[in-house]
Amino acid sequence: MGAVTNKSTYGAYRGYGKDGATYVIERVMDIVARELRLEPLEVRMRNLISPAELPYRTATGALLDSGNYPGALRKVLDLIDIRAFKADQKKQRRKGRYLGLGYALVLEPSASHFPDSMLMGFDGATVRLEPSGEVTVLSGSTSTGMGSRTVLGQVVAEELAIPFEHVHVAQGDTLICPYGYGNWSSRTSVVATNATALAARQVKEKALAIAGHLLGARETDLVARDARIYSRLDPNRSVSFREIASFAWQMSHPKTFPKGMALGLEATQYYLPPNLEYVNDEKGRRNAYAAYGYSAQAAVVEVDPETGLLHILRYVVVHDAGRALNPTIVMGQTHGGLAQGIGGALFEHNVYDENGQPLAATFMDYKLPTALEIPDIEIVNIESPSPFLPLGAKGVGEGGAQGASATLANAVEDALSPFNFKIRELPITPERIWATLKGREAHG
Amino acid sequence: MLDLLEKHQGEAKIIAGGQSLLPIMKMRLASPRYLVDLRNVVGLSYISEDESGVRIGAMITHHVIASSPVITGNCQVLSEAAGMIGDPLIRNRGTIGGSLCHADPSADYPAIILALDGKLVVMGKDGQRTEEAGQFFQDTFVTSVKPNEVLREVWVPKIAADSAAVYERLSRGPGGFVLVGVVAFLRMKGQRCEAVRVALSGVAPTPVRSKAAEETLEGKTLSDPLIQSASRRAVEGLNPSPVVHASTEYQLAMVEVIMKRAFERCRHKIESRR
Repeated sequence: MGAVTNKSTYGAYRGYGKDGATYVIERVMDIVARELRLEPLEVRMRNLISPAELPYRTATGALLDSGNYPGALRKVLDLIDIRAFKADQKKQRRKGRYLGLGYALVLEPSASHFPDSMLMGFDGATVRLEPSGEVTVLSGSTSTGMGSRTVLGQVVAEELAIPFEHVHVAQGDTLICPYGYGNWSSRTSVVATNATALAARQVKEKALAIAGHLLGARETDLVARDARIYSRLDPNRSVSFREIASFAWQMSHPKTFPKGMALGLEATQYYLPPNLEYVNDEKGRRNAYAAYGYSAQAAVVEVDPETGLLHILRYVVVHDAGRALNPTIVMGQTHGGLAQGIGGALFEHNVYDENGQPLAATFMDYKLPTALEIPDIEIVNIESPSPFLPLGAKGVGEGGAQGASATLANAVEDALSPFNFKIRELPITPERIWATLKGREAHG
Repeated sequence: MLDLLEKHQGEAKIIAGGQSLLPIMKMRLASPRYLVDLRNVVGLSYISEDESGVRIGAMITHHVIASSPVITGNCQVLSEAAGMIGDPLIRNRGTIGGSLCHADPSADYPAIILALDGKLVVMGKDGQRTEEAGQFFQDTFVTSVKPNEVLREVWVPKIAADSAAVYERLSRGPGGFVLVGVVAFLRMKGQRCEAVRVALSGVAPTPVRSKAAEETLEGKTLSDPLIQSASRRAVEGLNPSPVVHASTEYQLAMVEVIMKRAFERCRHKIESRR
């Protein structure tokens, strides 16, 4: 049976269904806690997979790679200081102020793989040490402004031990870049970076072999530093990448050039994470994600029961995206995701009238939060590198968008628990809070 | 300047701080052929005191109103409201004249002028006239200022030691659009309410006085139940149109809540002075 509607449906966006799944799971935790008169923390602790059990195969086939879910949750509640909060909550209630604490453990799978589709799990990279001694990187990844060009440059600079300014990255140019699948599913730091690193390592291998020839040394006695390759045994003996490039591209030392060695100093790698599975098992399950980041999020809110107005007093996140290749970017992604998540939880509302006419047709009425509505978000980064991926980094960016609704819904229910208040729908607007408290139907 | 307005009647709009006009022009809701810029017109930017009140030139910005000692010292409620408008960027450019002439039903100043019996001086080629808020604000975005006229100044009374005025508002987020605003003015002798004025913004096309609330309190001894009763009666006769963020029912319920808070704050202000 089908239905035609003019109303907006759910579409692929930051979170991609993981926001809905997180909301259901984390709300169930709190609802169970309320029914059984247990602490929400206790219910979660009884259900969270412990670090010792990882890698862990879930009932639906996902292979959770690494992490410390209970640890992150305890840490975020430590940062909130849950004991001090509860004492303050009691005190404020006696004065007629309603504060609440809500939290959620948010799983952030990244880099999915659907064979024979446009959502494949691999990416390609070419790394070339140019005759100038500088490096060109051609990546099959694309950027929508999240800094992947920077991170790819960083990865190569680190692998080759050359200055970041000497690495030139080209992305998404279909004429010259190797095949790749672009950026979605927070996959760039999971797939593209590894393809790039592996290509860079191949280039480095050859560079070391050439340096060995030029310095008359064994490769195991060589180390790369500051765009040069040094002999460990005699640091005065070194050769620059420029000279190595001349050797490879221009045969600058024809006498020592080994017979049969290919000219050039370039490598192309196509990388597919090894923990991705291609075929479903007999029950239709497989691991479709290459990495599983996660975060523990907690929020303290104050709700005014007379007006329904809500203020977020604190928002704290303990975030684990495996190895943080660029901590600033990880912070930025988490902040941005949370701002969007808070928007979705409290402000964004597609309202229709009884005739199906959309009422929020411009951003005057479809409210997005501004810097004034977003609180100072406290983020702490921890690292549980992926055991499956060369660089150990996991995808980042969707966790904030995924977790804010559950965190805030839990917090509002906690704030209004003396009224036996239940959240029924999102967004959580002042009028809906007011109407629920009055036992009325809310508008919209 | 008045010549220009006269010459291009109907095709010209006055631009003061531009904080109301420019967004409207950007949304193509207005495309005036001529803009008459008041920035360099002499005689519209002043703050002066007389025995009973403060005269404020139309080109004075919200920022200045929020921080001027003459205004904070004599009519603090106006400064309070000015400090809540938009954000610092808007307050640096937006003017009281522009805001009043724009006559947005959700604006902050109009209800204050109404509650305090403020006066507005409108200037045309043939001279000037003084109006009360009730005459000046006619409908949503409509005032009595004709296309060849300009608002010159607004006068607000000095608030005496036995009185207080308070502006309480409900909006989503700081500087966000006002859903409901209440201006409460009280003059008290002991616990007795000698004079009371209440005006509302955001619930009708123009600011409105709440006669029902005023009648309930005038001449009576102030008490919590009385304030409650006055606030409840305030919704009589009001029918605010629903907006995306708030139904009529919610707005009316908020009138009661916000008015109660406004009276309580007002009363506290007077009592803490004693």
